[in-house]
Amino acid sequence: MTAPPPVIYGPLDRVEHIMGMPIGIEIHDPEIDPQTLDAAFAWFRWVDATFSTYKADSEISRLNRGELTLADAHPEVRAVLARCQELSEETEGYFDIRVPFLRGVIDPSGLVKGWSVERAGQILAEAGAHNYAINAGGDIIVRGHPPGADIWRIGIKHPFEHDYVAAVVGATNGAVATSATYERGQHIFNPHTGGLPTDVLSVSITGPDLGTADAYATAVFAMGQDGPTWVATLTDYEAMIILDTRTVLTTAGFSQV
Amino acid sequence: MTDSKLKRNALPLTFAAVAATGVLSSSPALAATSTTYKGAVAQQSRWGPIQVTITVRNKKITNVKAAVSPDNPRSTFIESQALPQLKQEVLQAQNVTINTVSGASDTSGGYVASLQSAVKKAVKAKALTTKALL
Repeated sequence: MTAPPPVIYGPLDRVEHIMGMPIGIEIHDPEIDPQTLDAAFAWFRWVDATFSTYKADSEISRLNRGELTLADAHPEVRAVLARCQELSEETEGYFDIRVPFLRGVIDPSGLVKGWSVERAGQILAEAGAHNYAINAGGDIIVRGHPPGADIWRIGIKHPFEHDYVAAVVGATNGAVATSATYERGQHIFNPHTGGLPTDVLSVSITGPDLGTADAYATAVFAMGQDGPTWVATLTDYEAMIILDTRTVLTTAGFSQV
Repeated sequence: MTDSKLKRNALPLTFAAVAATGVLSSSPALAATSTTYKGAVAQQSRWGPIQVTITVRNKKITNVKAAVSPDNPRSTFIESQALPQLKQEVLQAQNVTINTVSGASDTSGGYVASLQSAVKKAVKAKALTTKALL
């Protein structure tokens, strides 16, 4: 008996609309089972069903209605909420999952997206993928490199010129998250003053973990004028901040190509 | 080009406008219909404990106020010593080859959804009508 010839797959590329946003996965390795994509998207659907604030039967909705106690929540839910608390402390309270004006109600989606993308990346890695990218509504992880290049080139969307980018980040292994005002209006609420920041247009954070980068981007946006001071203190994460004066501030290690 | 700045969500803008108006004086005639709702005290603030209070009067949020410890005022300017650590450039529009694009997160719509649910709750308590925020 001779062994069957190896099945050559790839590249694999798929976009699905989950959690209210397009999620794209591209894998550029040979011999990755296409079912890997099914597993990754099934994971995202589970995350949506569990964490969505739009779905009445999600664990978060049930926690918010007092129908579920934290002790009875899924271990992943408890882990995410514990991490949210850490991120609140790390960001001096600027990352805040408590919903304004509504005591006891939480919305952890600011961490859930990035966290779930990192976990989806683990699913791909466990299936043998080394070169892949996941883009969930503009928040991105990359590993390895795309076909025919040494690095992934990740554009940072220009706040006004929708067909252009303001910068290009080069990375082989890492995460990029952006918080900005241009798509959904002024949505990031300063939990300390009850006001809305007006002096920052866009905050992009790069670093090892997308959930953390996303939470930092949200927090820095809410910090407004204090954001640049805070990002200068970060060690593993780098930042690019676009101010409404059209000034672009970047930390020393922000990797532009 | 600056049109983008104008396309802000009507809902949060309402709060921005409300926050900018400052404290409204409480005249006795209006006091009967004016109710304040205090938010939970946030301990994790760079200014110490802080508490947000909203005032609802005549079915409208008339004020959003944050109380902080007075001896710990908010700094209003970027500290000058931090800026040299940041590179400063003028915003440019580049048209270059890229693999993927990072932009504003769509899940931030959850904020609006949450706010809407908060409004629904206030409406249920008959403290607000939905018109207050539209």
